[in-house]
Amino acid sequence: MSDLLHALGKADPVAASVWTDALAYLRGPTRVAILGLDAGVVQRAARRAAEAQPTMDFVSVVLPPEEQIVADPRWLRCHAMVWVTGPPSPLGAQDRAAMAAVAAQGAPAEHAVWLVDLDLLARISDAPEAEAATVRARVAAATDWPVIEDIGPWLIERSTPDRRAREQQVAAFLCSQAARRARAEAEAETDAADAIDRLLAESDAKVAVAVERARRDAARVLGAARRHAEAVRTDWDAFVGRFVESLPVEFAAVDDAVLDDALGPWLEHVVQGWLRDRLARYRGELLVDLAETSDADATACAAIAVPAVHAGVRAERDWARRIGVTAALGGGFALLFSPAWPLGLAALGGTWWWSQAATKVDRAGRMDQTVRALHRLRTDVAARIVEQVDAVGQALDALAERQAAAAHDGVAVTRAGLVAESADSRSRAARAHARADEVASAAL
Amino acid sequence: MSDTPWPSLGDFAATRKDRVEARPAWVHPVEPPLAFIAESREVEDLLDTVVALQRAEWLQDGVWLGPRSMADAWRDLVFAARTLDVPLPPAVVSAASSRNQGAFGTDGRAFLHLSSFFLADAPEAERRFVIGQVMGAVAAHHVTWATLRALLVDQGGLRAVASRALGPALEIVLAPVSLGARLWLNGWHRAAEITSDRAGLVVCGDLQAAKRAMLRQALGVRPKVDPDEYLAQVDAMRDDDDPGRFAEALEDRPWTWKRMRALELFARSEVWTATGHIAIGAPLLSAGELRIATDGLLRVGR
Repeated sequence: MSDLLHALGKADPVAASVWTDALAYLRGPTRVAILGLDAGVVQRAARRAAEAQPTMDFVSVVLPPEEQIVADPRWLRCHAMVWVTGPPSPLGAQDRAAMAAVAAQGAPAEHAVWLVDLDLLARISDAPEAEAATVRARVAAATDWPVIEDIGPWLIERSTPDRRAREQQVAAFLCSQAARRARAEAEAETDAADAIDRLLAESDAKVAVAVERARRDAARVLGAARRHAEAVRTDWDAFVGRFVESLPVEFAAVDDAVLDDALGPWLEHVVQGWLRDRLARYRGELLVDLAETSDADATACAAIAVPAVHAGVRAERDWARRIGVTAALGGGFALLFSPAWPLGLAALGGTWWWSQAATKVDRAGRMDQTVRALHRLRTDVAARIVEQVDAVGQALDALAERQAAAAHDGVAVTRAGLVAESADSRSRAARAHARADEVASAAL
Repeated sequence: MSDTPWPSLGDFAATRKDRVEARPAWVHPVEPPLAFIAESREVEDLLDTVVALQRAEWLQDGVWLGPRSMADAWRDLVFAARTLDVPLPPAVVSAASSRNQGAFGTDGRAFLHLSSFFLADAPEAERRFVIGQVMGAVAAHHVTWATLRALLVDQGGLRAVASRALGPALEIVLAPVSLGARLWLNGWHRAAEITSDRAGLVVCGDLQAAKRAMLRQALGVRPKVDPDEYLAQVDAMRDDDDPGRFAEALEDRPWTWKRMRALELFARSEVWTATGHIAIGAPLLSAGELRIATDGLLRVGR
């Protein structure tokens, strides 16, 4: 019994308490429960039983017919029970349902139907004996419980009840109840964990869809960027070709001083301006092409910065001369502050003259230099555009990764909470199952 | 005179002197002294030569930023160029200190010099701030004058290179003029730094990241101090009677706290909101109010 109490206490402390309480009564004087649906009938029956066996304890239990019947300590504490019924409606459907329910809720196996108040038939019937016989027959037919009319002998037979059997019956009942409750709890926890897992799966699916959409958008943006950049390169080649073709006319229209002063800045101005306009158009075309792509960040990644253009027709030519001129200027300037200042003055004047004379390049040579510079630019700028478009792919990959991480991060906290909750539920379910098994085996 | 969609060489040459390069609205409006000097072809040639030599030296132990070399920083460079609407300039990364990062060359032929120490472990927002800051000089057409100043006061070893390459005699001239040039040009350069800081903020869009990057530039390492905590510390420690405050006249940059405060002013101005950002703080300053407040902050000895 102590093992049972231990198992029950672990599985269901309330049931253990009920068991301890019931055991105290079951080990005391014989107790008989008087049950019925009618309060008056039950009270009268209890009084009669007490008169018949004053040494026993009687417990009146009136069961309202509309209420669900659950295990009640009042009958769990009893060794035997009688279900009281009588005219005018002996052992009706409600009685039978209540008897079945009570029997299933741990009522004593020692039970009988006590048919009372048959003497009242004499007041309401012209043929009371016949009526009583009909009542007896109906009651006997309606139940397989023993039917008694005189409680006295039935009580005497049960004055020394099989207490051990009753204790075992109550213990088995409480254990089965505890096991059932534990299993119900386990099922509820399992259902809750399953519901959480379904939520997690739905959330994961949504994140996967968002990530997939971001990747699809990125691929579409990259495809469009490559297509439009290719068009830019084609136009760029055509522009350089036209520009080169226009150079003879441009050169013929200006004098040498203009060529000296403005050729390089003009080339850079024209080329830079063309690139700026064309890449702005590229961006506009890209935006139109990707109007259906909702991700503005992805579209922004595909923009191309205007490459810096250095025509190289002035600054990079003739480095040896420029270094020489600069050194001579610096040295001459320094000599101005020394006793040899006339030498410095001469050096400055000579260097300036050399600088001016050395920059005189014949027109044919300058034209050739300019054409070569433009062809070099054609290659360089195309390469700068290509490397930027290649980088668009990397930027989009990085963006897609960031978006995926953001999508995961967005649900991470909730997800972690749900995963923990699911694990807790499954853990609680496992513990409930273990309790149920333990208490069931203890009951056996 | 031509039927081409671009201006003819003759037309360009005729209008070149009148052509005014548009500057972004966020430029703090301070002109360099004797601005016409930077327009001289000889000066441009001289700077091109010296800078090309220095760039070659930096490149011996550095790399060009590109899609296959420090790709993340290169993407930030492209982003900054798009944001500031500047033609993508070449950028050299070398083992320079964070303070020696800058744009060198001429306005027409600028290149950026960046620090590998700074870029190596800087978060994206801080990288963007520094690259935008450096590129801001290009957008504001400050490169020629900033390089001239660097040559005269030997910033980043530029004058040493010139001396080595062009003869030690040059040093006889440059050394005495160094202090004068420093005093003469530093006022303009400090204002130009404010412009650069604004460009950096326009690119990175994150005031706190910008302040952290500034603090790191000043301290050389990633400091474990919140920029606002630093500002509070400066406010608490500042002594308006300390004569040391005039030492700023010899500095090529405003004190770091002034730059942060100037950036805070900018971030709550109409000039900032016009770049598509939301004002950080209130009340909103007009362009005029921003200029007056910034000039007040830039005063030496304040």
